[in-house]
Amino acid sequence: MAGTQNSGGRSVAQSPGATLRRLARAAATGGSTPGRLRLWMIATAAVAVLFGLLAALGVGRRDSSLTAADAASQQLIAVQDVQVRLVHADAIARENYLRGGIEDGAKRAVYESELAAVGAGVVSVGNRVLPAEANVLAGVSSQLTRYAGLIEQARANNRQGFPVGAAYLRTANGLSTTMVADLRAVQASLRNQVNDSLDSADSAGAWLHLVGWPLLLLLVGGGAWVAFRFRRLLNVPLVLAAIATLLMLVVGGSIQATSMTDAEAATGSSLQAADLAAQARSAAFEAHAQEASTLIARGSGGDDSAWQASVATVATALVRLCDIAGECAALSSFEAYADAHAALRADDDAGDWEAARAASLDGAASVAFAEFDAVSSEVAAQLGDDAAAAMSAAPEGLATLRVFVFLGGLLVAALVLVGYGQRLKEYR
Amino acid sequence: MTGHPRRSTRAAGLAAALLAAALVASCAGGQRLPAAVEGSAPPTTEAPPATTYTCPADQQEAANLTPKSYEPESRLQQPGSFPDGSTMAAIEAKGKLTIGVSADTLLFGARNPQTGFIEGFDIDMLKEVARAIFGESLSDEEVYGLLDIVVIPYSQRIPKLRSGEVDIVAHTMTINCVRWQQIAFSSEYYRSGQRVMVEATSSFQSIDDLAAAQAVVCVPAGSTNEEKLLADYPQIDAVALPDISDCLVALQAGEVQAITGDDTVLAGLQVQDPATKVVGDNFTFEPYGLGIAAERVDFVRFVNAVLQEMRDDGRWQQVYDKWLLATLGAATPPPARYGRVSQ
Repeated sequence: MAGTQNSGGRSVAQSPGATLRRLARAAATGGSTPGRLRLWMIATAAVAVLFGLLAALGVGRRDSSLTAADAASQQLIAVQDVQVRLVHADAIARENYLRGGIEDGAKRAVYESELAAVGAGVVSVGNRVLPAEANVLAGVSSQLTRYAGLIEQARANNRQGFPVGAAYLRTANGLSTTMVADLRAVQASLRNQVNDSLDSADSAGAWLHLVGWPLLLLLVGGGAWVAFRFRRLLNVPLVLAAIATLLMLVVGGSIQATSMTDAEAATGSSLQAADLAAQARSAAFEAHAQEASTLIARGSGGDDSAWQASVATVATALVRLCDIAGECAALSSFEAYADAHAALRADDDAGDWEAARAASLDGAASVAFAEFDAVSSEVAAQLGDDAAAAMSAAPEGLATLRVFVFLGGLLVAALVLVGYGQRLKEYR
Repeated sequence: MTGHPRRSTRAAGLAAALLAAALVASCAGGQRLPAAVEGSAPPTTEAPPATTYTCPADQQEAANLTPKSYEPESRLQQPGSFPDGSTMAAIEAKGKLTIGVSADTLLFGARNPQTGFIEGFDIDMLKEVARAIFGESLSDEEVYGLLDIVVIPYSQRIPKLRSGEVDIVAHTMTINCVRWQQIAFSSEYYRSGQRVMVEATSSFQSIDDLAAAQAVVCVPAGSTNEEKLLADYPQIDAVALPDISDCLVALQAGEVQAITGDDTVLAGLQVQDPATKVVGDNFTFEPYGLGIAAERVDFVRFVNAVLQEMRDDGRWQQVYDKWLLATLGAATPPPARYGRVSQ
């Protein structure tokens, strides 16, 4: 309790702590009325400015975090699109190999365009992600060149009837698996980025309230003291300041909270659904590719376990998609394909490889898979668009709110100066 | 869990309630993206512990002598009159001969991508076995239709026979005493030997050159070629890949300097890549046999009878000339050695 001799509040404060202590003591106990008025005025105006700054920072942080979540979610969808196109291209390559020397020209064209899209997509996403992910994508890019070369060697050998083509195809497929694993790692990282950004946005919401409510208490308390001390019912500037603060807390708080709930709702619905649809499609193309590989190896003991593992992923993702988004058409069309696959496996296991091959290339399984592809492609595209729209809409209004609360804080400070100034004038 | 601070209009003055709501919102986690879906793979059947087989002293043969097989059954047995309970009767009743073969060993067992048929020297041997069971007058296409073809990698040749999944294996498989402890073999139907293949411009002339240079050499995993390479040429940096065609990929990619395998198989690889050459002499003795389950002695005798007829009536020569004459030059059938009495 040192330094009590300077009770007039005239001296320059040695430290903010000492100033606050002195202000608090003066406001609560001693000092002349003008001194107290001046202290209330300075303290309240300072808190109002602090409120403006912190609220603007908090709203700004929520804005930038939600924008980051939006960006990461769009990158996630883009990387998934790259992966789906890669496994689609790989499935076509294996299917065309199974056809023998004479490929299906239309499918070949799809293979070419999918591979080109993968190349472009990897570069385009690589420019937008963090360096760690960009490095992984650069690795995928170089592997892609090697992959395309291996597929061409497989084709060339296959056309000449050279069985070494199958070894090239297997090597290419192994490389495709490696690239898919890399892309999955990037996706896992992007999912974390979405979640971390949402967490960061969430915690930024407290900043508005942290100083806002104490400011309102100061305004109400100070206003009540002034009214009591000077026997006036209302000090208009102080009342306006309190109303402005309350409005910022309630309306600003509401806008801010809505942005968060909107982003979280989009994450829990359309974004998660788009994520699941893309995963389902990727695993489905993997399964389709494995079906061709098993037939290329002519049974190889009829080992269907790789197909089953992929299908387990497809099924899990599609069931969740059906639960979350009510998109169940893809699930039923995939079940139709799985039945057709089981039939062709039975044919192959019974020794009728030709029938199994025909079913896989142009028959029941092929038709059923094409149907699943069409249905799921539409669902995935729609969900992706919905997710992108909802995630980018969530932070709308926060930039304006940020300016609004900053200026609001300054306005409240000005009103406080005017309000207390009116009473101080009476002592001159 | 949720408690999002949605504005309630009547709560305008309730600072405490709002503050509490704000605090809740800042602490409680809302909807987040779950991790990627992981489909669980079906349980894989546990591999039985590997048993090490050795050749009993009384069955050991001198070097370069093919282990004996069972005496051929006299060919009184004809389609429709196989003894009850015999393997041949069972196969005839099944209507299919289940064969384990390679689909990518050109000239021996390879799928023709234009026709989809698997064809080669090994396949033609098995077609003759199938004709002996189902009817000698069957056409090539008819007898192909009676083959239940299971394509297997090298490493699955013995397991598939032991599990009964295939009746007979023709997969460039070397007859030796250790394998005789696990399965039975027909008499020798082809005489091969291990050699090395290098790029056409390579200066390596033999396996000894490769050993001296500590070269990187590819070999099919689980083959006798691998055993020989590891045992006799430890200086060589051996790379074992699942199939010998994977070795050609590795050679073409410059990842290995040579491939070692049976001359016949290397000849098939050379057909696919003229920029390679097979060099050096045979440094192993590889008598090929058709693999059959150990307990099906009747079937071994029957197959030996078929092979003996083929040697005698020129069918073996026809099959050889069709597939191998052009790349391996003229050859005659290897002599059969019989006299095995029991396992």
